[in-house]
Amino acid sequence: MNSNHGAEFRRIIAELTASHLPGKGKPLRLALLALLSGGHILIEDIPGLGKTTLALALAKALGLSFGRVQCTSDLLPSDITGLTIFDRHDNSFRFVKGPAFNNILLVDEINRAMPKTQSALLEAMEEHRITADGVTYDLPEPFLVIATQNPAEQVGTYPLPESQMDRFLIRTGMGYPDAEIEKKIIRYGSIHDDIRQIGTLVEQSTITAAIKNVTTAVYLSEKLADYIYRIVSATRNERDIITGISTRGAINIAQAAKANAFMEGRDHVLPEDIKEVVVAVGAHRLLLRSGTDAIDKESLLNGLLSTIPIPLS
Amino acid sequence: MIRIDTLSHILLYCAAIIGYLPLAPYLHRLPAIALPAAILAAVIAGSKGLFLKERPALLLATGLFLYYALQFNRHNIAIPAANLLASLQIIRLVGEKSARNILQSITLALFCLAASTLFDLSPRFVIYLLLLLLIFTVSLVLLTFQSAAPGFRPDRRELRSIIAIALLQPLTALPLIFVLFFILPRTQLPLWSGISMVGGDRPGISDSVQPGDKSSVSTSGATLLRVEMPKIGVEDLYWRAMVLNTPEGGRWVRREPPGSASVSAPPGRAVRQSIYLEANRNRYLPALDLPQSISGTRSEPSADRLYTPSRSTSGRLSYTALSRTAAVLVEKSINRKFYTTLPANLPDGLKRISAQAATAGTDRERLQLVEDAFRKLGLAYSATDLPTGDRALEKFLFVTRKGHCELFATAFVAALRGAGVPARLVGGYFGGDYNELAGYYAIAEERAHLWTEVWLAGEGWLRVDPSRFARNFGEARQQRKSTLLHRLQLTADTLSYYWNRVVITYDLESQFEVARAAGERLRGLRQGRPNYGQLVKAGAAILLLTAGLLFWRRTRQSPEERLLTGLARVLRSSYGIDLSPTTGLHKTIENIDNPALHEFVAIYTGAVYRDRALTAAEVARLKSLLQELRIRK
Repeated sequence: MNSNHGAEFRRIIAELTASHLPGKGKPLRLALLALLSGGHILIEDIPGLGKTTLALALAKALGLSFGRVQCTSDLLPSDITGLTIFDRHDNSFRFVKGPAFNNILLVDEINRAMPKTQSALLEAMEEHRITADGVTYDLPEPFLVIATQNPAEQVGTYPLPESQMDRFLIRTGMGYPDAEIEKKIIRYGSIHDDIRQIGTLVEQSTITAAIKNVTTAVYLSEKLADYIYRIVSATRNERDIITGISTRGAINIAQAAKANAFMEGRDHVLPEDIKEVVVAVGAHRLLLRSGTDAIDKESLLNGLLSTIPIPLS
Repeated sequence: MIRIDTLSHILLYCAAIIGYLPLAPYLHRLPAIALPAAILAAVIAGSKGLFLKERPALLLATGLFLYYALQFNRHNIAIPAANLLASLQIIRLVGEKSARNILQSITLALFCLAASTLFDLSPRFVIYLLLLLLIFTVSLVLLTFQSAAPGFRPDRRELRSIIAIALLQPLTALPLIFVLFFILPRTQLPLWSGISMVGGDRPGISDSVQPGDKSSVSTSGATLLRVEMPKIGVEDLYWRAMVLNTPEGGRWVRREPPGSASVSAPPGRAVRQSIYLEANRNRYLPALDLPQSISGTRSEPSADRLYTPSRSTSGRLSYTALSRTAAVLVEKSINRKFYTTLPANLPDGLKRISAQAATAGTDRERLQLVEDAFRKLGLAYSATDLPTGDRALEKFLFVTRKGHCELFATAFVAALRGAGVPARLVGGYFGGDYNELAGYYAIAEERAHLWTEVWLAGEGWLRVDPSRFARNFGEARQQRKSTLLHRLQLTADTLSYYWNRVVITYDLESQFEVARAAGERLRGLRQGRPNYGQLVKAGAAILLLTAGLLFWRRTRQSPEERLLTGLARVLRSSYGIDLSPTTGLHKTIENIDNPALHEFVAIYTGAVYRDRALTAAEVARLKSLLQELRIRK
């Protein structure tokens, strides 16, 4: 395996956080992890913290095409997937591809879309293809959906049910930037326009090769598979949790850990990789017992992690 | 001028002779003659460049080794060893004289000299030893020259400086030798004879009892017997070790008893004992009275329940015994004449007691009468101021009226026999200090005791302890010191108890026994047809051993675990970090700026998390990194 691939992705993060996305290293890294392990990311935070900027900058830096959907309650599935229109000129029907036919698709405020539209999107995320009027269209590879939702707003929204949350590999927050960085942002204003100037930092072929490498060339040892198993089974036996991490969730943890190892330029997974991704990958899949709303899923999972011994030898 | 290799050959012959001289009287005839012959042959043939080739020499050595190895047994270690050394020396002498072989030969001479100390340690040994050491160092220097330039002929001046250098080394070492000689403990006895002599003066119960042969009872606190068993009542603590049944002159001795007996199985409780017996003079294995069976060491019971070990032993023994404290030895009919033979020179007063008792109808009544008579005498128990001489019994019974168990028991048996009641003396130990810590009785030599057994028709041999007729038996025999010192002694005894257990489980003697038995079987194997049963057994043993080895390999720590432990230790001592079971290694050390540490963890996790064992090179590298980390702190 060419470990330089990992270095290139690390460089993307370094350059973007240095120039355009100060203090956004963590969500940026998670987004890249989702991309490398063929999953999708849900960013859950209030508006105005740079979710769109992040998606845009990432698409630019990776040299990938970018589409955006702003969800509203009257958004139709075809608004995402595309629709067939009659071309008078040719006297035939023609499929006009929707924004889903981009490498990176930003779905803003996904919880504002009605369930029908949500499920069409989730189907596309899962299948990596779209069927319209009996014709199946493959989506471009790589395909990364960056969905955002505002957890504070409840009126007129259709929150994603837990079963649908499972489709996202990673859920993360944005978080406010550090005081110093925020002051700088206040002083120099939004950098929205600068993003268009970001040059491509990595070849598309490198990205496809990297995705392939993550699944084939990064080794996950038996001991660590057992470690992941012990984590997910601990979530299933925890008193405050109704539904723990599913088998798909466990697979996703393994994938994300592999991607993390790849980013670090290693050809094998370390326990640290697993610990680094497990909250981002696992927390949103937990269904807590009612009456335990006060408990934060992330801290619950972190607490569990600190009780599970790592295989050290 | 003389060639340097000739010089080293001459030194070699001198060394061989010095090694041979002190050993010669103890060698078998063949090596005793062959060794000087070999030296002679080497001198003559060596000058013509003739010698025995390497391969036949090796073959011969192997044959001789096997021959003498088969003669090894625990009684005979030194002689085969000495002969073996001499034989190897012979082979080396007639073999090729390379520098290596010459060195080996001189070393063998040194060993021969050392072997002679097994038989005899005379002052000549020191002289021989110094001579050999001189030859050894001079030869070392010469051989260095010889291997570099075999044909080198030093002139007189060169030779002198070579020998001066060679002599200087042992001379400078000499003071050191004397320091070591005085600082290190010296053996004063020839080693081998010293070991065999240990059996000379052993404590224990004697084979015969002669009342009036001593004026006081020896009090040696040395522990003779340790018995692992639950605590039982003091009145039951009789340890049976000897039965004396025949008067012979003034003494009581043991004759093989006629007839056969069986142990009754009354409701008396069975007591299982693990017994550790120190080396002692007694020929029988002591056990709690009345022993029903003894296992753990092969032994033969006699009719009066004494167990003779089937092999004579000079060392410690361990065995288990099953006894019934309330049991009686049942013998349907006995040889009355054998058990009523009277000793000579009985005092008249004793005869009167017998005559009075003989008037009663049954043995039981007679026993009762004799007991009553003894009680009326008002005897006292004492371990000092004992009556001595021919008339000791009379003095004991009617004059001083105090004595120890031997006097009580012999007088009592004589009185009973005089009345026609079969009786005999039983020797052994009474009581014991129970060690609550380790759960065993420590029985000191001074607890030796003599009591009696009386045969009653229809009942068997009843134990009667005539010492109990003494007014003060309780104080004299039981209320023993329970001072702090005594308790300390008991605690200290626990140590020797555990030591014994370990030593007995790993007994050098039994190792030799096994080796000798194997040797015998090997000889038998060669003569007759192979014993297939034994072959199968041997195969099974090898399989078992292999399985055990594999199991051991599985269960013992892997190199990974050992390295991890090492890393944890370094982290704790150098950085005050404890390895947490829920934190990865990289995470643990991420803030420590030490490239060696990072390299260690990278190599280690690189193997562990790729599901492969560390390669030898990696293990070596990791170990050296650990070493480096340890030093750097």
